[in-house]
Amino acid sequence: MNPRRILLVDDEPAFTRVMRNYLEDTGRFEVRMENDPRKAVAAARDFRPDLILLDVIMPDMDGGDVAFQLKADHALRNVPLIFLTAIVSKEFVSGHGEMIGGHPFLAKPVDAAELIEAVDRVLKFAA
Amino acid sequence: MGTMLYSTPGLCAASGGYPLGEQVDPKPISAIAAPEDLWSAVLECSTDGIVLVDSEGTVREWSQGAARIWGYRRDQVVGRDRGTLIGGHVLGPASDTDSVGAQQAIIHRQPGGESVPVLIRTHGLRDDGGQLVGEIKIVRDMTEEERGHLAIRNREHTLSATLRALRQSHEQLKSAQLQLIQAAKLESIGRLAAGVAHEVKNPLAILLTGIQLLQRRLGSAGPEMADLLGDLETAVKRANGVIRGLLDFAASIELNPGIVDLEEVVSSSVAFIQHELQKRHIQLALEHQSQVPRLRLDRAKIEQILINLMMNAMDAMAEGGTLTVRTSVRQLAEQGHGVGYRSSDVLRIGQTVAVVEIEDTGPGIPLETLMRVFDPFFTTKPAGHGTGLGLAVCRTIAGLHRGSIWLENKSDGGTRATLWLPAGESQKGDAS
Repeated sequence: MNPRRILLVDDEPAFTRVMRNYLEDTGRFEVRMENDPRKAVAAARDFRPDLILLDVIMPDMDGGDVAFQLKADHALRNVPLIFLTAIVSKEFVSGHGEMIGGHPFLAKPVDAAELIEAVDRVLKFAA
Repeated sequence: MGTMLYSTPGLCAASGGYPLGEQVDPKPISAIAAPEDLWSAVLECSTDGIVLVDSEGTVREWSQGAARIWGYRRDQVVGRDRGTLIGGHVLGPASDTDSVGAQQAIIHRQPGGESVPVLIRTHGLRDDGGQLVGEIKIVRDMTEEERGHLAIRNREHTLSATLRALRQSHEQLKSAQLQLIQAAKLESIGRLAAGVAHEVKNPLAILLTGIQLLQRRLGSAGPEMADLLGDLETAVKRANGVIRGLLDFAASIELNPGIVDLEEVVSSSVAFIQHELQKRHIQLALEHQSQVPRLRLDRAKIEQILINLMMNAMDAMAEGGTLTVRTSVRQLAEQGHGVGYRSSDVLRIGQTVAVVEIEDTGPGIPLETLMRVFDPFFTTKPAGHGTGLGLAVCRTIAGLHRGSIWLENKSDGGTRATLWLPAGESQKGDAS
C-alpha cells in the first residue's frame, strides 16, 4: 500500500522536521514540509497531498488565509485539512467539537498518537 | 450682715473696671470699700451661690446666686436648719473635718420641679483656736456645663459615628481598589497568557513529538532509556499543563451563555468525576433542595467551576469520605462574601440566587490558606499537580455570571465551596 501524502505547513522548521520523522517512521505516510506559508499553495499543487496539516499562527500569512487559498484552488479544494495551533488548549478544542470552520483542530503540543488517530480518521472520511 | 447685702449696689458694677492699657495705681482694699461692703458685694454679684452655715448647722448667709440656683429666697432660708429647711441633704452633709475644697455633685430639684445639676464645694471655717465654727459652701449651677458636656458628648458620638462611617467607606474603597487591582492583574495575565502560550507551546510541541519519536526508535534500547524518555515526556506534559491553565484563565474572561438547567449541569459535571469517585472510594450525596429555575449561563464554564470544585473536594479526602453536592434556590438574607449593599458586592440582600454547595469530609483548610485560595498561582498541591489557577478561574467565571463563589470550613469538619448565581426576574425572563 502506497504511503499517504501529507503536506505539513508550519513556520517552525524544528517542529516540521520532528513531525515528519514521527509520521514517516510509521511507514504509512510520506511527508513534505513547508515552512513558508506563502509557498504552501504552490507546494500543495506540486506535492498533491492527501491531507494538509496546517499551522494557524504564522508570519506573513496565517493558516486561515492559506486555507482560503487552498479552497479557492479548484485542484486543491477537496484536500482535507487539519489545523494545528498553539493558541488554544485541548479543552477549548473539545468544547468546540474539535472543529473550527468545518476543519478538525488539534492543539499543540499534540500527542503523536492522537495526531495519527486524527489523520487516519480524516483520511478515512475523505476516501 | 444681711442688711448690708443690698446696701452697696455700686460695688457690683462688674462690667465696668478700668480701660485696657490705662495705668492704675494699686490702692488698698480698705480704700475702696469696707470689708462688710465687700462681703455684701461678693454675695450679691457672684453667679455662684454662696452659703454660710454655722457649726450648729444653721444657715447664716444665703446669696442671690444661691437663691437663684436653689429656688428659695433668702428669707426662706436664713436662720433655718440646713437639713430641715429644704428637706434632706440639699446642701450636703455638714463638714466634720476641715474639708477644704471637698466637693459634691448633685441634681437639685427646685420647688417648681425643675432639676438643676449642682456642684457644691465646701470649705470649713475655723476660729483662731482651730475649732470648726462653720462652713462656706460655694454652689455652682452646672446646667450650662452639663449642656456643654452633653453637646460635647453628642459631638463625640457624631464624630465616632462619622469616623466609623469613614472607616467603613475606607474599607469598602480599599476592597474595591483591591478588586480593581485584582481584576486588572487578572486581565493582564489573561492577555499575557495567549502570547506566552503560543511562544511556549511551539517548543513544547517540538519536544513532545521529538521525545515520542525517540521512544519509538529507542524503545528497545533498554528500560533505562525508556524510563528516561518517559520522564522527559512527563516533564513536557507538565509544562504544557501550566500553559493550558493560563490559556483557560485567558479564555475564562469571555462567556458564551445560553438558557440552561443548572441541575443538568450539575449532573453532567458529576458524570465527569464518577470514575474518580469510585477509584478514591468516595461516596456521592446529591441533594436537590428546591427546584432551580433555568438560568442564563455558559454551560461549559459552569461545568468547569463545578468539576474544579469537586476535584478539589476529592483531593481533600485522601482516605475516602463523602462528597455532597447540593442545589437550592434562596433569597439572600444576610451580608456575606460578595453579598450586601457595598458597591463591591455583586449580589444584594433580598436577591434570589441559585446555589450549588460542594462539601467534603476532609480535614478542612488552614485559615491562612483559605485567605489565599482564590489568588492566581496559589496552590497547596505538590509540584506538577496544580497550576494554582483553578480557583482563580472559577472566581472569574462566577464574577462574569454576576455571581460569587466562596470557600469555608464547616463547623463539623471538612470544607464547603458555595457558588451563588443570580436567579432573579431577569433570569426567568430570559428563560421564557
